[in-house]
Amino acid sequence: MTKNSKRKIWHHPWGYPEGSLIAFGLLLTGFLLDFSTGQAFPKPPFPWNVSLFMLLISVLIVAHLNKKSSPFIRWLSSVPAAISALVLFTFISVLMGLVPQKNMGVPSPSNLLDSWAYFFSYIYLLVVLGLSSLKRIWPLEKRNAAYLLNHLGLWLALAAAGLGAGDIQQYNMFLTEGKTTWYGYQGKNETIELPFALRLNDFTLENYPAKIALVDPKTKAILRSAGKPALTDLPLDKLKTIKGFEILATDYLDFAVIDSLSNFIPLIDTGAVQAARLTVNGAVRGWVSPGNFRFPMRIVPISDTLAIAMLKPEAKRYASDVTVFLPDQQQYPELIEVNKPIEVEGWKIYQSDYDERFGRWSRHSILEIVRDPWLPLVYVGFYMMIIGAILLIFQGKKTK
Amino acid sequence: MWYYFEIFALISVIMWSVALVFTVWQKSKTIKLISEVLSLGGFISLLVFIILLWINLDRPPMRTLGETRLWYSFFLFLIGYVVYKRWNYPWFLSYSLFLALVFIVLNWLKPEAHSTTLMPALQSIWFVPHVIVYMIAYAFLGVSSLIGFKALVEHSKGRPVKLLLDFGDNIVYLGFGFLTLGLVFGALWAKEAWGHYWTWDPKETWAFISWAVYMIYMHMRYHRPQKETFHIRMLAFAFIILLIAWFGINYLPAAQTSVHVYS
Ligand code: HEM
Repeated sequence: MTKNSKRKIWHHPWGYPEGSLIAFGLLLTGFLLDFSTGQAFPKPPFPWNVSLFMLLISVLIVAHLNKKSSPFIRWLSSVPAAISALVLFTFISVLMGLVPQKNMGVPSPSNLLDSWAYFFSYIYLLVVLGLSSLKRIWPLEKRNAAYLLNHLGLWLALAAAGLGAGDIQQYNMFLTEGKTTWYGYQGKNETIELPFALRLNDFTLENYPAKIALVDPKTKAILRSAGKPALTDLPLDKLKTIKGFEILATDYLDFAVIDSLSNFIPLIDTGAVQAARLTVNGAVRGWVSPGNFRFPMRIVPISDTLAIAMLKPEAKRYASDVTVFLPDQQQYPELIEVNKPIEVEGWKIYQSDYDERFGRWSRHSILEIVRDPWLPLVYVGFYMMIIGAILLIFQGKKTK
Repeated sequence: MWYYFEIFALISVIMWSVALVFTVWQKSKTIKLISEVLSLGGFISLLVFIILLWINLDRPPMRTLGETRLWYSFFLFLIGYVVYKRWNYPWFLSYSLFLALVFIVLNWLKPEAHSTTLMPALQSIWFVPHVIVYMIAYAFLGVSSLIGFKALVEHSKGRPVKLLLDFGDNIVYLGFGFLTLGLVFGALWAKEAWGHYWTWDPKETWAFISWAVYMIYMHMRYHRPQKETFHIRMLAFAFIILLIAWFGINYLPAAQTSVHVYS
């Protein structure tokens, strides 16, 4: 290869200087467009994105076939071009990693995903990565397997994720026990009628035993100990020491109600609350309970400035037991749980939230429903990358 | 109870510290043997500690930073020991012992209140593979960074570094392969847990950045292997970006809204 110093810039064959300038030019143009238009770059939906996808593939293939006659196209599939594209894309990622991002239409430093600069860097990466992949496709050889899986896989995942963005639909469904719902909501005003309906039969939630903490008796604010909040798992069966206090829970009730003598008694009744009886430094001190919509909070005072409180319990698991109704009169039961979405008519349905005020007694369940028709293509890319990575691990580096 | 665990961690620290000294001054065959026995002893003690912790918490101990650091030390040693045995590099064992020690001692200085609760979003079959694969990747890349520093020293003394960099390539390719697996597993999990595979959440953003930095490094190495000074520096310092992605993120303003910041 000729030494760069002997070659004037923009004279072929190009190398790193041209790459830097092209990347910088794209960044600048992008930011100028952001600044002057003040509008997010368009994310076309079907059928425009499919056409664009075909167009992109065709352009890449035609370019690839003509690379003999064009040093520019050859350069686009070289490592210097790859580095420039990667550095540009990474630079914008670093900006996103430093400035808190909130996505709201107009491009700005805190909304880079909608910016033209991001768009240009993305397209540039796709073109360079695409041409780099094509360069080793033919003749198909076994020793290029890792290369092709890594590069084509990433290309496919990136291309399908980006172009598919315009087709993603995402709504919330608000279910109430005993009622049937077939609407999705987005924000305040956008609704959609769905090709299926869900009836919430039962919303269930299991809690962990609530944590206990040292609090200020007046404000109920959690005190700090050694720079961290002074709290701990409920010390059932084993003493826990916080700030010198040895605390032990001698009784623990997952479902308790308060009787007329203001004692906690076990009873599974709507609004039953968690409660524990504590000993502090060996002496019985009484009940703590986080309280809820039915019962008040109960703390164990230790001094004027210190008390022990029970925190709001954390959910261990929650799920919606629903019946699914399809347009053809079919119906069947399903359980929707965090991390275990179900799929109905092309929609993925996720357990998202519930009525926090009522905790496990919530009669409402909030679901998130997502439709992403490009997902299979993205996943093919992911699977190719997984195999590519495994090959990379086992084959290691091949020298040029 | 926690107190009993800590004894195992302490045994690891002591055994490894002594082993570290012995690997650096490996004068005779006996000392070499002792250092190997002590390093393995420390490793087994750490293993027992992790198993006990897992049983006691009744969930995989992979949620908090402190817990991931345990795994990190675990894999650092494992990788260091295997590479040492395979290629017979005593200095490699010293380096990985040193890094492994640093991360155990960090846990001592910043003890964790290991809570047994595990939020529903983390209760997934992806949890264990995702974290383990990442810790293996971090361990390889951490070691590759030490190779970079060793090369930096050799280079400043005017000694050749080509062999070191080639060796570094092997480690980087291994680490990068695992890093890619971690990234993709994370995306597949995110789709099941949150509804989308990639949301540019701050943790994801930094995970991508560190992935990209190593990608840039690998391509530069491939294209211009003779630019050694550049490669050495990049190899030594790329790890800093990884550290940001791993825990520096907890302190960045952009991460305050992250769904990924636990503990
Ligand atoms: C999953 C991520 C990636 C991995 C694992 C990867 C891996 C590799 C490897 C191992 C090589 C050396 C080729 C060989 O050993 O035969 C290589 C070369 C190359 N890569 Fe990548 N790469 C990745 C992403 C990218 C990206 C994003 C681009 C472009 C923007 C790119 C462009 C190139 C180019 C142009 C070459 C040189 C090919 C040649 O000269 O024949 N790579 N890559």
